Amino acid sequence: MRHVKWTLLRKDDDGINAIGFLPQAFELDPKDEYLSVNWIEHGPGDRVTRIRDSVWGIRKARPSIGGGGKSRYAIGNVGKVKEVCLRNSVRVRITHEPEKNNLGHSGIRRLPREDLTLLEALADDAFTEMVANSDIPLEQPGTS
Amino acid sequence: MSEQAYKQPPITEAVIEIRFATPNDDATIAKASGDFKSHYPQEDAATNVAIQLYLPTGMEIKTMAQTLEKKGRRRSSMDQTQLVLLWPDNFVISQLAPYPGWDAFFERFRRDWEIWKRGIGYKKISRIGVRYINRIDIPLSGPLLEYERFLNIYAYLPESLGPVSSYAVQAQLPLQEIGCKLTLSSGLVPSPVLRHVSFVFDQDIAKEETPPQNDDEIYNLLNEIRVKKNIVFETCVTDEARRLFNP
Amino acid sequence: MTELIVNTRAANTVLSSSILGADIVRQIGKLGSKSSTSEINIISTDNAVEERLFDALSRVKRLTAMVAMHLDAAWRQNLFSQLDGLHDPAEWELDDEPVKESSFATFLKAIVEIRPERRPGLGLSQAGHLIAAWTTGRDRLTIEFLPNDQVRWVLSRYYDDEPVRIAGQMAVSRLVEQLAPYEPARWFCRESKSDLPAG
Repeated sequence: MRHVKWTLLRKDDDGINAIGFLPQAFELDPKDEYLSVNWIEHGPGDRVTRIRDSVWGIRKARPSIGGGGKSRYAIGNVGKVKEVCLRNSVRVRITHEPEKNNLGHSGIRRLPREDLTLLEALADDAFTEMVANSDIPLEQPGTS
Repeated sequence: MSEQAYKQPPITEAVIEIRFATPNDDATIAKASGDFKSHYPQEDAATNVAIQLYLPTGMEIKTMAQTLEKKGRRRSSMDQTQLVLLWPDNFVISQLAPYPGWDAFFERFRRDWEIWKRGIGYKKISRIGVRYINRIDIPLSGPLLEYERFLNIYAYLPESLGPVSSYAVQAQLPLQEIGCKLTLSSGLVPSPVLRHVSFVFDQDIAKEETPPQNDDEIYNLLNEIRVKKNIVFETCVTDEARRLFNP
Repeated sequence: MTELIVNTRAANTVLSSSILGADIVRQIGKLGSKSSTSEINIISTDNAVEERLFDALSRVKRLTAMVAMHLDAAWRQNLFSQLDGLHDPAEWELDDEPVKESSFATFLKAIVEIRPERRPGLGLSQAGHLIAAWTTGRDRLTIEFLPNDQVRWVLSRYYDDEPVRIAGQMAVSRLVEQLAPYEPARWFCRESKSDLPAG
């Protein structure tokens, strides 16, 4: 799972509704060594609970996200991510990099910078599920 | 002469300026600016620094510089196309493209002039000016463009010198019928449109000698200037240019 | 916000607020008047986030005015609405970059040349480059507008459920020519959205 802000969401005509992700949503920042993601399966519970907990972990690590707003989370299958990258001649490593406030934090390493066709493939083929930040309630103390 | 309604008028900016014989102070300008808030929500404080360098000829080697600073306010609409600039000795209404037509522009001036006068009161007027900046974007179909096909104002050079890569011309003419002075400027400018060459055509028409002081005469003068401005414009462009404004 | 206008022009013409007006005065100044003449654009001296966003938006809206005669009113209105949405202070993060004027200038050149009937959904890269995206069924075209009249684009076209992905980077003047083999009408024209089958 990766947090994608409104500016990096793909929108329909006239920019009204978010319909997916721009390739730039998976582009490495110049200062980053890897693409920051969250490993949903890390936590306990059913899928809905894991997604919720993952969002809470990301929010704890990045308090500016908060609840509400227009951002989304891109969800992709690990196997599919690797497959998509391999088809583009890139062998990535997905490593678990837990942080103090976000135990599910992980990284996609060896992603080439500026390979736009690969980024497009990730946006179109690999990260195919979208969850709205506003659909996940704020964490209450003692919930997780 | 009525204003020819073009589908795509080449006007990039239209300005009406009233200049005063004596300046207002900063506090008065700041307060007056507040009166325009509902029409121009965005406000920026502005400082205009004028630097004049005097480079004497002859035996003197001393160069003098004079710095004049004045503070004013610029207010704009949210889409940045309508502006009012309030300086100590200037009241300026500006309209960027898309140009809504003279009637709408003039009505806006009247409305804002009333607001200004309510706040400031009467001040002797020293100059009334109207300026229209046009940019004529001409599609390029080859390596050379015969600009004389589109414009009747341009730099004329002997053919033996070869093609021109850039030029700028300026002329000042009296408009005796309305007691004004016309400053005409034209030249090549960088084009913001791909595969086009752009020419600016800038008219500034102003009355500095005994400008009107009451509203009716001011409005009459502005309408007279507008008529003249249209005549000058139509005289300076060709039918081929007009086809660009009416695609 | 405090702004500084540096004006070294002899005050014998009406003040212009536009970029073009300043350029004209520079050109006329080169004709050889005795005093040094130039008008320079306003300079912002404050940097609070909201003011920064507002300034960036103001600059690109003024830039749009330079070519507004080539855009229809609905296009311009939607463009401004989307730009405002991309610069919503409530969604802004501190390390985000507002839209760069140079990127927006490239965008305007592309849009005035292509004149797409369909208005794209807009995005903004981390570096402040405007992104325009069109989607027709499963087919996608994404163009990132870089400074200095450069563009970076990628498209996905589906043929029998198999995607073909092509990317490029070049001068904006070559964009139309480079997209031509991939039937760009599929994204730019209104009829194509409903008439052509999804890939």
